[in-house]
Amino acid sequence: MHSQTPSLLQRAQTWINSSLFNTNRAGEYFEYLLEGVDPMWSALECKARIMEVRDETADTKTWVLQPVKNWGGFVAGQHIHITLSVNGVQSTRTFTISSSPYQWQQDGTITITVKRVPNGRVTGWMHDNLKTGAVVSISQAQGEFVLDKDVDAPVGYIAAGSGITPIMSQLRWMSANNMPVPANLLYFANTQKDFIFGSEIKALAQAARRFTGNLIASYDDSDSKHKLPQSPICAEHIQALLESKPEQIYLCGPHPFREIAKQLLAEAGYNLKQVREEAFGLPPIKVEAGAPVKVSFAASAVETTTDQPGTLLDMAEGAGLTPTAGCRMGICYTCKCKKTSGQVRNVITGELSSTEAEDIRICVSTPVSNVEIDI
Amino acid sequence: MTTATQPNVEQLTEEKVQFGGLNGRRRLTKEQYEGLQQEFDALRDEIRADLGQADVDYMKNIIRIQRYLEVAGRTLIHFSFTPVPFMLGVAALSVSKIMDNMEIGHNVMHGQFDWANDPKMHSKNFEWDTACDAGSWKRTHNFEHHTFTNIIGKDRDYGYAVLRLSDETPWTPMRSFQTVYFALLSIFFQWGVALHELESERLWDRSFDLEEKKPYLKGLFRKGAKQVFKDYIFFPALAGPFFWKVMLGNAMANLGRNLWASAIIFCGHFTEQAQAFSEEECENETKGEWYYRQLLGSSNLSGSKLLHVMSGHLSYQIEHHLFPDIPAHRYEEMGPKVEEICAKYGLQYNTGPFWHQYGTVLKRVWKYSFPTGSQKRS
Repeated sequence: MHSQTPSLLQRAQTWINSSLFNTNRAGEYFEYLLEGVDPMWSALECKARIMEVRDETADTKTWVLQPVKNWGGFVAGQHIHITLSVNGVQSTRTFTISSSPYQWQQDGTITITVKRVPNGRVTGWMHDNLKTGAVVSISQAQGEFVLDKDVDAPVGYIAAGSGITPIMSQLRWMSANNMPVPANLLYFANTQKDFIFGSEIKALAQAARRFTGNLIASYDDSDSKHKLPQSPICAEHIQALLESKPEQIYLCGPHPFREIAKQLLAEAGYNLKQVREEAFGLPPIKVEAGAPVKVSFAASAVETTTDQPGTLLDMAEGAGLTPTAGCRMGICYTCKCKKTSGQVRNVITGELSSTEAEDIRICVSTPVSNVEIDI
Repeated sequence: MTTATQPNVEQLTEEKVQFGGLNGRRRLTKEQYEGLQQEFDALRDEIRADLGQADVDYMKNIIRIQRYLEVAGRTLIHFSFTPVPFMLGVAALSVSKIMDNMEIGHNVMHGQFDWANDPKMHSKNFEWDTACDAGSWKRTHNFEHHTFTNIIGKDRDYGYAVLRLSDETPWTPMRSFQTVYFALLSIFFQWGVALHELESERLWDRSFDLEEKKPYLKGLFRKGAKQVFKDYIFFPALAGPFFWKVMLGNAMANLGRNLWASAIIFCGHFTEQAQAFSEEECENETKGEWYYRQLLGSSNLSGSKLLHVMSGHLSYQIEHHLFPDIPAHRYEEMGPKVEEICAKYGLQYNTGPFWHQYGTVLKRVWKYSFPTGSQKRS
């Protein structure tokens, strides 16, 4: 993935593979054959079978997955990329694991808990079509939203909506581990009915003395239009959470929610370096006022000009092209392409690229000058 | 359609379309070209919107069959000690190469499955079992040939620079032997395709620029060496004392593929009724006129499902040229609709059985090896 000079032996092997199989990796030649024999077999990826699908709330379901034996396991709070075929279109999305590592050790299963995104192509398809018995591809687990190995001080959790999933994995792990440290949770959702794992959290709070769970609904159940007087998250909530003197606060939820929470934490005098965030999706792209930029997709002989550029991937798709893409959040490098000229900005880090020819990930790159790219 | 776009259908006489002469071609009005474009665009959008899991599954299955055949073919060639299993092995390997080149490689490299976002069937990554490397093919075929289809002087696939196929190409004495070139091109077709981008014909008018061709030549040698290594060194060497047997088997499999692929491809544009175009008449061409040229410059083969699959659905050459990025196995259902649109505009939908079409190709190659048109001596 990253440039590293291959050894002579590796180069020889690549050359022989490309001669015999017309691909640098012999596994690619056999991949469909293996899949044809058993969908769980693969020379390239880890597969997982759906063992069960459960309803959590009206728009959220949990899928129980059994990965192949050689899958590497995970730490509570980590996430995986799941690749599945949505009406023939191979699609990759990132989901946190909501189950405890103990469950995986015991019966070899993990769970993901996914809310149906309004108009979401992939989550919508999953809710309607991903049934027991289906097979998907999963990546190894990754992510830093995890408890430190030697955790010995109280932890705080702030979650909104489906942001509860990585936190639930940690709570389940701690609960099975007899609550090694005090933990306090602030959990926000639209109505009482929208709390994912609501009853489990309440039961845990009753059973474990060192855990408190505060479930705060923004709207009344009977009338979802009626907003309760308080804003979803406010200074009192933060005050209550900080009383337990958490050494780490884990924050997971939509981007605007996290911004407000961090602001309140900072106002309450909490050091933001002690806050860990799990961020999915891209932050909104800041449009800089300026001249329109022209993007030339050279290999397709297509050009597009706009004064409101999105990511190059979105622009290419908007122009009717179909470049390969995976996670759409700068992680998997599937969409890596050669930029032959022009400058782009990384929408996550804000970093500006050089103006030289170089490989870029088009899913997280937005043009800041006229750009030519080899798509 | 409104009555305004209804063409005044007149009978196409045999003479008018004979051997694709530039004159006497049936022309449409501006409105008709627009109507033609709308109808073809609508047909394309309809199929495009319907693409899904079944199309991906189809291609995966084809790839599986091809790989099973290749493994079976190489195994049989390796272990056979009598002619029958040996020939079965040759046949299996040859069919595997044909499927890899035509139903899989050609179609995948057109980007017909790019929408599926599967790196293993994406045009960016796919490499095939033939001497021509994928990059060179995409430049010469996808771009040159599909953009400038049958424009004499711009579409270098038209006659592959060695065949004279219409009056517009001047006759020279070298053309007298073009039936021999045709036979050689058919036998060594994979190398002919690989050498296509070299534009060796430019040696004659001294416009050939070696420096400019260097990146291409590098790719050519790299890919050619791999193919030679695979079929003529690696697998024969695996057989030890039976080196020559395996080499012969592989050469026969390649020959089978070459003859079949060239025959199919020649039938696509060199048949009696496939028309040629001049650069002037294609200047400032609209999309409707582009469709018109693709339509009249291509010819189909009628036949069984097996013929269609084994030709990579190039038996639907017309549909392929109208909709090059629609998965080819969908051309079969598009065919009758295209034919209907053609009938409506009084345009020829050129089709016929394989042997008939191939016969007209041979006839055309033979005919134009002699002076014709203005060069004909009276």
